[in-house]
Amino acid sequence: MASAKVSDQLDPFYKALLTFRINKIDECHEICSKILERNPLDQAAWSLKLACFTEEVFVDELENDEAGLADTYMDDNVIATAARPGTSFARPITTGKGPSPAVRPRSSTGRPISGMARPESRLKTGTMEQALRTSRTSRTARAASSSTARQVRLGTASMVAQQDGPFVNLGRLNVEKYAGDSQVNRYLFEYVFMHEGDMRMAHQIAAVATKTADYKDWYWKNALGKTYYRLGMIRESEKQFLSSLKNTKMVETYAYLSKVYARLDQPISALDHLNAGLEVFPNDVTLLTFSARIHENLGDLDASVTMYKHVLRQAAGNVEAIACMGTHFFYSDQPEVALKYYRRILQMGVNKPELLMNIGLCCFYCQQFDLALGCVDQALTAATDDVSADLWYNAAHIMLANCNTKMAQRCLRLALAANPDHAESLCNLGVLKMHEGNNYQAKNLFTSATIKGPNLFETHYNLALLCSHMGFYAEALRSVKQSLALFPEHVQSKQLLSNLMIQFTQP
Amino acid sequence: MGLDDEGPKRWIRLIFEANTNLHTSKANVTTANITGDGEFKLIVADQSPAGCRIKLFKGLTLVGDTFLSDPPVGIVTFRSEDAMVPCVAVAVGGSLLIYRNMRPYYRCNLEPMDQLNEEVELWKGIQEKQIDAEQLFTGLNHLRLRHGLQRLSFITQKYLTLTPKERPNAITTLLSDKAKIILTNVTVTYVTTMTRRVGTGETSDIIVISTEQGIYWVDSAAFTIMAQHKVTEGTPMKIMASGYFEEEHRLLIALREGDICLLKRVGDGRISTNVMGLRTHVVAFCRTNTMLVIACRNHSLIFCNHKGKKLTEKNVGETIVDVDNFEYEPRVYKGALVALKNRIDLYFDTLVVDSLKFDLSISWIRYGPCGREMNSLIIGHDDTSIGIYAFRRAGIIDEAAASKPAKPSLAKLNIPKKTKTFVDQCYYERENLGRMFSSYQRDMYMLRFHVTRAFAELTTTQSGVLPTKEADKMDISLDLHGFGPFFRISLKINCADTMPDVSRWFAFAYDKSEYKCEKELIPVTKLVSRTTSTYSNGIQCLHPEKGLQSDVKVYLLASDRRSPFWTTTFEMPVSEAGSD
Repeated sequence: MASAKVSDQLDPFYKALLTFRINKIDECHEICSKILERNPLDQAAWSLKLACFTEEVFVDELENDEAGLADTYMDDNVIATAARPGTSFARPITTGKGPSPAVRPRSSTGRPISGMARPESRLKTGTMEQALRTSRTSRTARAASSSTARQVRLGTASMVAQQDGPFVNLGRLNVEKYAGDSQVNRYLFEYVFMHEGDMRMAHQIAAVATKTADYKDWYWKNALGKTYYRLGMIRESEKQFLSSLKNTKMVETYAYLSKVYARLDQPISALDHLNAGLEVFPNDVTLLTFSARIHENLGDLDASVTMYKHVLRQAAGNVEAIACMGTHFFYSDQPEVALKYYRRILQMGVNKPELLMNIGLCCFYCQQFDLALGCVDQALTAATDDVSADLWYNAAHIMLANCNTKMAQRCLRLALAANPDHAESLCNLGVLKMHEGNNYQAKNLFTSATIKGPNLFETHYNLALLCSHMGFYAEALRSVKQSLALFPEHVQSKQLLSNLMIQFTQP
Repeated sequence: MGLDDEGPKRWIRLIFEANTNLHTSKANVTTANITGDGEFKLIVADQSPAGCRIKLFKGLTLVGDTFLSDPPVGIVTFRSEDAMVPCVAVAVGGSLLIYRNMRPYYRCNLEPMDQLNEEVELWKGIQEKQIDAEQLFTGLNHLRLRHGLQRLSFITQKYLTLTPKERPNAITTLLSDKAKIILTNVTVTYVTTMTRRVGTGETSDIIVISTEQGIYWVDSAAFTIMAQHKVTEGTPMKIMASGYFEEEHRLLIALREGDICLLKRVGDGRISTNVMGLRTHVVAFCRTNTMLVIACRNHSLIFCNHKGKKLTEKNVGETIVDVDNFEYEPRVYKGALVALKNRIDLYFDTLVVDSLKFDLSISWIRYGPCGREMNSLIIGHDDTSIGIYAFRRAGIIDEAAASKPAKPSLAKLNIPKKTKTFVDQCYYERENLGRMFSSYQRDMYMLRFHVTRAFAELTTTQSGVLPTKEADKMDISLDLHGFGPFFRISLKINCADTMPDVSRWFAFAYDKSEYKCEKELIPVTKLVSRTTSTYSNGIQCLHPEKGLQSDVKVYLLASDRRSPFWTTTFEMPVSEAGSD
């Protein structure tokens, strides 16, 4: 009671600040509204309320990098159309530094699967036509352009939050006045940028504020850079960030620059800027992480792993780094080491089904059988819709390892019920059907798997093998060629191709 | 002829002279800075039928020429104490001819090793007319029976093989020749040199000569025999010396009978020999910094350490012509050159790191300084052509790349080291076997139960999400295309088997306030096995500006069932705003 009284005696604005500080945003909202009811012109309360709105939808802009189809395939910023391997995200390193797709599966972007689910990267897989032909349900579809993906959802969030009209009527806002006011403009900008997602207005505010600050404030230059980036004006944003660096060297700016160059498909420049940043801010985790990601995307997994190790030396609790290390060790045949990493994530309080499944799989493959299936079972119980297909798919693997093909089929069926577009499951189910002798069914499954997952070489190869058994040599040849296009070193595909060529040579 | 053009060029051809008409062998070729101008010249003892000569070449141009009375066996150059430039020694018959500045200087005759005194006495007796021809013959014949023909001198050997008619004539010609009768049975088989002592001081070399009977060590200053050793293991054919004469040194002796004898001599004269027991004839050998490389007639290369212990053997599958030591100091390359019929392989340790191909068949090779080039390879071909090649300064030999075994079956699998965790886990597993097994079985049971229950839930709700028995024969795939607000659903049905003849429809269920379909129901044609039929339906997002998404269900209904035959659910993507 006493404390309640004390808090009542506090100055309402001070109390609002306090609640904001301890992250009780809803309370802060209420108090600010009350202050504003009494005095609608209280700029401090107004700014704080704006900050509350921003806080609710805050997304780290650095991590927010979703590239839509249009951005990827109709990119007018790309310089070289046939870049040398290792100098472009579209042409990862080919010198066999990365593990073969037979060992480490590839993600739908055609890269070795990573330990961390990140926003869609920008690798072009195949042609635009191929991308358009892929089924575009919400799970598989990439947004058409970057202005749709998350931004739309943010916009909707603002609509839900303010049923009685938006808090700030941007249309009637005196931009010149507020943007020039250094007390208010940051909150206003962040509100417009994060909450409203109105890039044109945000740009206007940032431009005015930059001018007011005599073109000397790095924050406003970065703000301008961010809005340009969002608007797709990459070159302009590059200029702003570079100019911001001249004012003040900030970690964030280096990271944004790397992002800008990554978007321009110049990974080497991106790495250069990150290294420059690391010279100024040695051992900075953000810069190291960005560097590790770029290395990973370039297919230079060794360098990426070194970077992540570096990150872990600085911040032992970096989940992304731990997860990536775990994946690395799992696919380099050391599941017992990977297990340690995953267990560490678990100890840090992350309790997600996919993590449990990873632990289960690691246990299973390093013969820690007493824990393995328990974890798997727990993962399946805690499964959420977005991952359940993958979880069932992994359960099928465990069933297969126990020679229980019937159960494996059921698991795969369950995976497909959760996500009808799960190409890996389709492929494996096809293999099981093939072993049962249901060739036509298997063929259908493989065919749909090739459509749903054009990135998997396995489906093409399986289809080719089955077709060659069934005597459809032309189809087999087509498929095996596709398999070799995805994985040129695949020995079995090569053998099959040479066997098939015999059928097509004139005697 | 010429180098193989594949890969980076490591060798460059300096000079090539076709048909030099030099009849020579490896033993009769050497290079030396003989004129003292710093240029290594090629010295060749030519055995051409027209007449034996020693020829001096600058490059491959003849600059000097000396007559040779007998066919040469070997030629060496050696450093003598008082001479500024190396001298040339040519082994001929049973003696060594020394040349200085390409002029004859001295003839060093080798004393037979164990001449029979009786034989000398007998010949002396007939010279001094103390005995007659008949007595000589009987005496010599007696010696032959006791010691064997090989032990006797050539003159005796010849005399004993004459018919009784020819003998008196032979005696008269022998005695009429005023010269002393040389009773020798020495035939030089090979000649080489070695250093006297440690340090590169101005000391004269030791010439090591192998003869049919044994080995002679000859001092090159006074031309006296420093030591001699009778090889009882066989007939020395080729020798190679290593070490220092006044200290310990080794001789590798190839025997004509087909084996190798390793002779070790300590400075004080103690000698120990060791036969390797190859059971094959030796073609050539060389000594690299790490090992001895011995080429055998059975196409195999034997690699031994310097003490003669066999390390490994490699069968090259074709005739080995010659081997020579390869050394390239600027890059610290050390290895052996192995000449085959039309190819020269460069071995580092036991790996082939480089290969040169030639059109002409190779007769001999010699690696060493030539001209001003310190790393040249002189190749003699069977048709008497000679080529001089140099190792390029830019020539890089990637040992790592070469060490990759050619056969994939030999490739080592990348098996990660067993981590400590793994080992601990193994111990744990061994100790808690029963407990682990029981908990695994229990969990396995639970997992199977879980799967079965989940599966049963799906099947019993008859939602059709899981294919029914009949639908199992069909494969239906659904694709959604477009960016919005207009999308297109395409459905493909493929039957593996004949289906009962009933009417079927595709039905669509969705949020009517958000989406609008072109057709609510699509009739399906009769399903024929192994044919694909495609259906398509348009779907429009009514309020793309809201950015909402919701599920759409597609059913396949059949007239003979109440529950759907097949069902799928998918979530529509966020729609783009319309273009209008």
